Amino acid sequence: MEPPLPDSILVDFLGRLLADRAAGAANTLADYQALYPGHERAVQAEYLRATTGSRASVASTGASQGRASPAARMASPAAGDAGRVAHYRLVRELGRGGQGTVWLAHDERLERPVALKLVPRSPLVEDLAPRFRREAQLAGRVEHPGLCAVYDVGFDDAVAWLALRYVEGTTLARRLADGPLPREQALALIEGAARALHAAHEAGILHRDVKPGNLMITPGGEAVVLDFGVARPDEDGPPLTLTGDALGTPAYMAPEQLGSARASRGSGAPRLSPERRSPDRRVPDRRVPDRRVDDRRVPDRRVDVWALGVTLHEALLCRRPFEAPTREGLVHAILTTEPDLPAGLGRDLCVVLRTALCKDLDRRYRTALDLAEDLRRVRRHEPILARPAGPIVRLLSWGRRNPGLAASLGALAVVVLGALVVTGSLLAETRATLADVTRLSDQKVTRDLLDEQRTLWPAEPERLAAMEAWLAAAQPVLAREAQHRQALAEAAAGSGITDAWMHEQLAQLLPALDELRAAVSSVQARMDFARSVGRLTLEEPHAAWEAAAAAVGADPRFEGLALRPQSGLVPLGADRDSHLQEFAVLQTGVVPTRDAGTGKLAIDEASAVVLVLVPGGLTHVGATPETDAWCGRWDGPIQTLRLDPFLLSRFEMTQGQWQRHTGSNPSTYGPGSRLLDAERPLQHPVEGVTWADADRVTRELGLTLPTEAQWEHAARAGTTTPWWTGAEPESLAGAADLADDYARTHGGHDAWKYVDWMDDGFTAHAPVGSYAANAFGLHDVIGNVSEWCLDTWEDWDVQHPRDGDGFCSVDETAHNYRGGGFLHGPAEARSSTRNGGPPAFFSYYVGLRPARALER
Amino acid sequence: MTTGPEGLPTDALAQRAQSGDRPSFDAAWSRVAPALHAWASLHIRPALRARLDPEDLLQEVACRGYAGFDSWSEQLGPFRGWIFGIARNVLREAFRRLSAAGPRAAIGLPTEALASIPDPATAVTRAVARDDAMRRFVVRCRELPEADQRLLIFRGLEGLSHAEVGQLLSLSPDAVAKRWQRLCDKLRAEPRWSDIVAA
Repeated sequence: MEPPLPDSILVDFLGRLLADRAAGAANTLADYQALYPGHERAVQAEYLRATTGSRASVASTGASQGRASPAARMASPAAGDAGRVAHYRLVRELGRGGQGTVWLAHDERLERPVALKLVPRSPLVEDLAPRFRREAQLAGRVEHPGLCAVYDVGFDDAVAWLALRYVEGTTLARRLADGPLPREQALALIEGAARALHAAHEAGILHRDVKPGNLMITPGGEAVVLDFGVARPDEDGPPLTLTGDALGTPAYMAPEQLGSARASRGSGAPRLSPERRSPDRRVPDRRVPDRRVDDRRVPDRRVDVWALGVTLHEALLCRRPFEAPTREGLVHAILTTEPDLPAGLGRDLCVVLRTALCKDLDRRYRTALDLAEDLRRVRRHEPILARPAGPIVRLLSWGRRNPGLAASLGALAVVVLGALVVTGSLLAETRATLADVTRLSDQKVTRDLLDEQRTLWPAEPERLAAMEAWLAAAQPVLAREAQHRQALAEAAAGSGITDAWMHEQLAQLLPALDELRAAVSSVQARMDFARSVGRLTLEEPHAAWEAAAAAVGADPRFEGLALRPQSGLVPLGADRDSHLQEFAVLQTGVVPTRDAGTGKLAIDEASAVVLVLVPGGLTHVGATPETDAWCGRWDGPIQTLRLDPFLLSRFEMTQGQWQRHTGSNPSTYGPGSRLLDAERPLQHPVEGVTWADADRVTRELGLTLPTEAQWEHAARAGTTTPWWTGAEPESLAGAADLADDYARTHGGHDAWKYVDWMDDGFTAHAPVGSYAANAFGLHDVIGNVSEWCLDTWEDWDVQHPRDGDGFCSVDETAHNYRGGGFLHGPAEARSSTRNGGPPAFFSYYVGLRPARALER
Repeated sequence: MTTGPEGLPTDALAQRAQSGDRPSFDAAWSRVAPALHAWASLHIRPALRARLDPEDLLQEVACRGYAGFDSWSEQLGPFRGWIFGIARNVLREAFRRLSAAGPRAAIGLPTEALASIPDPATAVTRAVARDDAMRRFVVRCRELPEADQRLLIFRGLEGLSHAEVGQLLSLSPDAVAKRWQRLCDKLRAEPRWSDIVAA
């Protein structure tokens, strides 16, 4: 027998369960069991205790089964019990509701898993067998990957069952317990659900209980709509119940559902209108406080659209648009209030939500497909089809609430307007429509062009044709800019465009055109570079390339490598200490020159990236406790591989280099920071970059990030000690910017890992190249900032770097950064220290060191 | 085992408190309180905050710890573990009462012993609960994947051994150690990390 739940697990489980319940997110026992492997039965016992107040243990439940009714036995078999219903073998409970349980079961005839819904049949409760039959009939009408198919239905004296497609994943309700969905995911999910529901609607089926608990998110992120248990054909009358209660979940019910349910309950007759129940038509019926709700309408597919709107709101914000502590209060809120949408959602998405949640049926999305299409447009930043309520709509709404006064004013308006009819109005309207179409078209084209220009990298001659075609497409759009600006000015002056939505589109178009103009300049600069790069980097430095090739060919470390000229690079000759060839990346800044006396490169804020041609060969990366007393758990085992020669930046990428390319500087310690060298802040390494941005920027520049194996091979520069400086931490003096005594006494953070004996003169990072270089001429491989690597963080016990480039990647969840930073101590900045974070992780101590593969 | 400004390990402080030097209890409590607050804040999720306040929980644990302090001895295990044992009991009882009280009822914790607790311990609890850095630490921890959160709670906050955590999470001690190392690498630069997390 499994021991009782340890207290540590117990409080964790209870806290989660209670929070889920407080958030209205009903999770299944199986969900909770999955969270606590090894404690499934104890979790089940605690779950029963918490949800039913029962103190019965699992063991006693099992023991009492012999005395339980057949229905109870089948509807609630003990976990692990090989229960059986018809030809279904019960595997484990997936969920439990007020009417029964859902089990993962195995269909022994067709050898497939199914979700088996079991409901006991008893004279004391409503017999759900007819509803099951109907659910099966309805589901049989439509087949869609986003709908949960019904395979089978049946019942005997004890139990009714419904066999459904088993969908792996988690419900949206369960997912929302962890916080709101990212915007993109929420939009895509609800779009998928809307398309699935549209298919059901087209087959004549309303779901009527759309809510997060009925939306499954598959492992692939797709939506599957579950539980057509309260669905009905849309030509049917009221839903089947014995009590007259509205089926569905009140928080997700549309006003017209609540209206019809109230009408049905209140009079015993189906859907009487409030006007007919009220003796005085001018006296509002308090049961339906707002006449914007036309409850004379038969609920149709728009009830599902409404529920999708509520669900989308909840997915984005983790709260529903209408909330109240009591059911009556909730109904009142749904019928009378408007959702309060935060501006941060964006204007288009707010319009979509307001349209889905519009109490006026005529203004709500007519179909779920319409909603899906607008969600797609929001995701793709295209103009949506829904329009916000304009002044006329608001006026009509006001008129419905104030019919007497509205009638008087309306009559007056008709007289005035009648006198103003002119024959030229048709022509003016046509022109205005044409201008509207042009504006919308330009908006779409502008967004597409902005997306496309991001692909026109790196600036190479091969891309010239694509860049020319892009410019040709952008120029006509920009040519109409003056026309758009004039229209906006006229609108501001009160003439021309009067439609609020169109005004908004125009207001969005103009900033996009500014962006497009900047992109045109950027693409033109890329074209200029692409046209000249061959001359500047291959033809003019032809002699330097020949000299470099000769030197490399004669260097035994390169094993006879025949170095070809590399487009985009300018040869700088060999470093006097490392004797390795160096090259400037022309596109990244000013090509540095060597000091005639010392032979050192003169580096400043404007300098280009300098690449060192690093020799390859057989190499060993990683460490073990035997080779490195500071070895961390992830640093080994030692990997032996053969690397090709490659190019790696002599310095970490500077803030100046990053800023020149991207136009921005994400660094925490950037210009203006008191912890920087005020004379040359842009020569400090860039930090605060995500792996994703580092990868993108290096690719745009025709560069890459080094693989981990390349990085460590280069950082070691032939050494086998923990640091290239030696086996003892003290050897790092003068060679690295780490958390030292200076930082401790000059504003460093309490949590940094200080060493007393070091004084590197900087609190945060130092300008690149401030400390000694290793044998390959690379500066700051220890400390300053950690450096992103290309491949993902794999356990070297399992995955091994490959020969050639050392790439090692399977899991995309985390990428490595190497070398430690200014906040680390020596142990965290060894050549073999491995650390990492997800692609979106950024921090004030993580930057990058560009690399490039050799064209051979 | 941590050492503080006085240079004494927490357990030594607790022993000194048992020999009559009650201010040492406050010092020992101030060592454990940050971790306990983080622990309570992670368990009492935002959806439950209106009904149960982590600060109340800390006060209750301090009260019970103070009242029952004579029963602690080093042979029973570290002071930190003993305090967390009390905290688990208090929170388990609170959760069960919440569960029975219905979805919207709030509960108060039975802090009738509050008057007997020394002011410094109460002040420590209040200061921890109002510490912005602590709040940020908890927010950061909430962003972790669930498995990492549990590892942080069991290993980092409760101070359980790798083997004990392995039993709770159905993992080998080695796997726990590896995951813990990875989590430490991810979080050790966070403010308050070294104050909060068990070595």
